[in-house]
Amino acid sequence: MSTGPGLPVSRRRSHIEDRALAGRRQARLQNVHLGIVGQHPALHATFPSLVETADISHPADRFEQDTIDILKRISRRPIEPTLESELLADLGFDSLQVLELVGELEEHFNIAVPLNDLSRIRTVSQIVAEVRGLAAAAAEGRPQ
Amino acid sequence: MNAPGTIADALIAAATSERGIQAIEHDGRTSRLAYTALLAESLKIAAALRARGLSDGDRVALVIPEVGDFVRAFFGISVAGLVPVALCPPAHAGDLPTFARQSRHIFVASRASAVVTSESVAPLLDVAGLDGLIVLPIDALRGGASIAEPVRVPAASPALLQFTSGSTAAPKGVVLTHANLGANIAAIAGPNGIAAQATDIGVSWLPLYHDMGLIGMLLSAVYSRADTILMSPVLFLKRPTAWLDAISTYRGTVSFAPNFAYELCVRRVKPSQIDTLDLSTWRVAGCGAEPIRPDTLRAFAERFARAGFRASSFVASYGLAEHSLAVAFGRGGIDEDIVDGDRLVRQSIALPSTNGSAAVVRIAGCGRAFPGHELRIVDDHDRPLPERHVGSIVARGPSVMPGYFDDPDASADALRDGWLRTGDLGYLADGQLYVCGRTKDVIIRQGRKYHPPDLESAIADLPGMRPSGVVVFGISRLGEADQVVAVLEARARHASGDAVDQVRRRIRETAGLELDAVVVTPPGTIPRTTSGKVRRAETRDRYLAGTLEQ
Repeated sequence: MSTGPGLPVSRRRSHIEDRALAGRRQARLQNVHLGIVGQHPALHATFPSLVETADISHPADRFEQDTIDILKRISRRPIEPTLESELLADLGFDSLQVLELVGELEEHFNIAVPLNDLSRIRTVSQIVAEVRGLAAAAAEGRPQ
Repeated sequence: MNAPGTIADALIAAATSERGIQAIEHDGRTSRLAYTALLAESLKIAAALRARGLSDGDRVALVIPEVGDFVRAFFGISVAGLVPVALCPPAHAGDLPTFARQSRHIFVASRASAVVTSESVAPLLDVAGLDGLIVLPIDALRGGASIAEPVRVPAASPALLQFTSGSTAAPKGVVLTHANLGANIAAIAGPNGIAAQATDIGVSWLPLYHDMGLIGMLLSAVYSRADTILMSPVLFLKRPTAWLDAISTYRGTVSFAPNFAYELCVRRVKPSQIDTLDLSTWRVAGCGAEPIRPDTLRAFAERFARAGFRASSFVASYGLAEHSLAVAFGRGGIDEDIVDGDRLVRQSIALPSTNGSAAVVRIAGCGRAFPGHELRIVDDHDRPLPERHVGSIVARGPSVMPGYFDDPDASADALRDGWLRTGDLGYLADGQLYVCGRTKDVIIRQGRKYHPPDLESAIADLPGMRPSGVVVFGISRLGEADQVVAVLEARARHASGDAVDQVRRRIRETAGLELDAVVVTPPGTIPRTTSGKVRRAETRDRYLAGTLEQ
């Protein structure tokens, strides 16, 4: 059951992405709280994604909150998902529930998740990032 | 009509009709593929494959999640005189590591010369370690010249290799010949099967890399020149209503699915959605591929009665890949035998329950052997058992595989004097087959098969744990989903709560399976053979009797 040469790398990358997302989220929450987004140029450089999303009224919060609500609804036992939670390992989802989740997200956010992305989704933060990206693309009329 | 000798013969015959396939992809996009067009496209793909140096009997893997492209590639490979080996695509496998592990094994075990794939999957293939394989994107095979007609191959030659689905680390490749497929498909269409009619319309969301979808729905439709609607399983699993919507919209008459799909519909289709459905045309609602629970079927029939669904449409079926697909089909409706559970468990005899019976067990009837096929219940010494005695189900006839690919030992184990040992337990009553268990250790959940040795090695590999023994077993109770239990021997320094969490997590990650119980015991608890191998069945019996740690 050894893994291929490419695998450890891609897994590592996904963990790094998770941490980066979590870090950005924390920074964003703090900044929103302090009302300093848009005032400090240094923050723009440090958190470019923050600047991109700061114009719209907290869309990130909606994506996160709605995703977490849907996760809780689909789970057959009480769960407290965080952005770092892994669907299979932490939340006890099986492969059927993962697809049920995707179906609910597609309907809720009016998006279509590409087939290939399904096999890359492991954590809640990856789902939120996926949904946010697809919704933004849909809003701009870009092909998803 | 003469029975077609090969898949190519069946396609040529179907191409004389106006009928064809409606493909519904994972995002709901639909496209029509008339059999005439399918034949023409297949001949082009075949020309491109032969031009790349592939020759008669070479195995060609196909990894294509898109329904339409899968069908084109499958028939292209087949009319080229090559042997298709369908793989579970990444989006169905769950995650990339699982996909890579499964695919690598099948590429090696089938000694595939090439893999045909779609644009969406090609970038993911390199993770699977495709050393020495020619990767052929389907779009690159479609544009060129055609071969004049399908490459002629004997009916006794391999038509496809079917690797059993599920999580097993080393599935075996079932070889099915064109003659096997022709015999089984004719049996399914015949009077002991679904009594197929020319006007039937099939509707399926079943995966095409799995025998029930590939042979039962796709090839059966082509062989009987019927219209069929093939939907992506991803679409069904995202939105179960999509399956019933398709039956309603296209006036489907025949559709098969495992028990869990009916359960999913009961749970997830909303009343407002049921009101929009018309299921009155659905005359064969097949159920198979995993243990059938009469209670599920009853709940489905009750819930969807107002959409015109009839419980009499249910057809219970029993089969396995080694028998091409189907072994027997039930008489229709929710046909169950109600037996005395105590005598069933203690004496392996299924007697109709009387009013005084304490425990009652309901077992779905799966019908009789097909014409030209035989079915028997035998004891451990292969001696036939009388009616209502539970034993091993064995089958013989033209649907039985010649063997596993490149695996004479496993083939000899499975086949004795032409009799296929199915690994399932059952009994006969009035010539009807009732399936009530397994002699193999396989665990079945949601139509997927899990093999205890794979789950055990996943636990044994846990970093830092190094259990001195691990046993995973399933407890199958009639009418219930299999329970999965792990027993491991760990040294005292591992707090057992931690160990339990780690084991559960590991099995979720590697198999996407939730364990029902994890038992941590001191070293020396698990029963072993004199050579040190764990005794799985005995561990299970002791667990059930509560005497594991005595």
